[in-house]
Amino acid sequence: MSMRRSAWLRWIALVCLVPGPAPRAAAQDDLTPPRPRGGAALVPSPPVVSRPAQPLDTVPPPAPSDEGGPAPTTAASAPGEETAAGLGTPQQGVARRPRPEPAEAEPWTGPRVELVYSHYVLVDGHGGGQVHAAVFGGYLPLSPLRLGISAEMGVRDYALGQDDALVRATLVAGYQYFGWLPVAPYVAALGSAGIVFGKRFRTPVSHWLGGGGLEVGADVNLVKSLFLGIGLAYLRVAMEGEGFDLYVLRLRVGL
Amino acid sequence: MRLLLILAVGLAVALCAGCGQPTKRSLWERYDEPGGAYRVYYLRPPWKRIAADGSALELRVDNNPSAFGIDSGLAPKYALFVSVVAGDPAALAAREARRAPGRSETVLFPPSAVRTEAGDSGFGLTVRQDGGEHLYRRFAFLADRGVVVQLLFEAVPVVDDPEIDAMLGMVDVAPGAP
Repeated sequence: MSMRRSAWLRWIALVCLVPGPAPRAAAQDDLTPPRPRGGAALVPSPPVVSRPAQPLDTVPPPAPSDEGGPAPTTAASAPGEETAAGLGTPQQGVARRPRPEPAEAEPWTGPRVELVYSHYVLVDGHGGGQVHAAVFGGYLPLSPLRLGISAEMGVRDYALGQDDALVRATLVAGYQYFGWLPVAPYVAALGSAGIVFGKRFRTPVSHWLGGGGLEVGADVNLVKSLFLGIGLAYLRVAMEGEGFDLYVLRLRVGL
Repeated sequence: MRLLLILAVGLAVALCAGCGQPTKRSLWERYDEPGGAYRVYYLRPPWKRIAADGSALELRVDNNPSAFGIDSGLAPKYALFVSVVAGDPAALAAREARRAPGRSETVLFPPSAVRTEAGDSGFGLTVRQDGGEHLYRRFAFLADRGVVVQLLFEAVPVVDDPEIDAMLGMVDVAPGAP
């Protein structure tokens, strides 16, 4: 019970000691201190004179602290004493927070994706058959095994009419050598299947094709996981009961 | 072991490489007239053989509805009629040009010399029906070793087409003759 009373008394004393807001007229008109409570006589006080303005270049240095060194100042504590020329220089007493050192990035060993330009000739028998294709694919660099898959869309020149469209998927399984990094040569077996859409005698036709072959090439790792690569492949594919030799050039960029 | 596997695969590929590219004749279907009067190549699909009776042959490319089994009553997209005829190729071509107006046809390309890849020579002309579906008709009369073969292409699209030219160029008259 006595503790609760003492707490009440402490709270009342705290409320009474907190000064209230200054009278509005006194604050705005004559800058004279407010009349003290209790009817005390008014004591004249010297008028308040503001400090004369000083040019920014002549602002004196901060007063030394008790410890002999310059007083620590910050932009928040003394904004008026900042010189324009000194804005770009570090302030005394303010130490720049050290940046965390970037962690050493480990080489990426996961799946890699690649964009490929592919060129070969799938003859049409009349002097055409040039194929220009874009390939999106990827592979798993499971050292030394290399497993990959890619999807290709391209255009095949037809000498007697409109060009054909070609869609093809390829599976890759082979061996790659990492002893010459950043150059990584490889040799891989290919299995491929696709379909050719075209028009013959103004009639839509489509032909399945499929086959396999071998590819040799090399990747060059540039920065981080970015790499460039080149590959040369030979495939023997069948389409409409005929066998075709495909000599494929593949230019690759990937991550 | 790994090296041996790579070498084996490489050897297999090397043996297979250059196994041979198809030619335009191997990619197209071939028809030999039983009597040895002519040989015709056609691309299947879309061409298909409709009739082969004696020395006559009819090939056709269906119109799009017919290709899906719908009988629309439209003329086929392309048709080729081959037969053995008697006469001189130049005279036969001139005769067709003269008959064209009587059949309500306009001669688009008058008779001119044609030559096949096999060396057979002849004359050809192209006409167009004035009414109806504007059917194009292209005649070719080819001769070799005394055998004269008439080829008649009928088409709803323009018949002077690189594919028709290629088809005509692969015709061989009297291929087996010495």
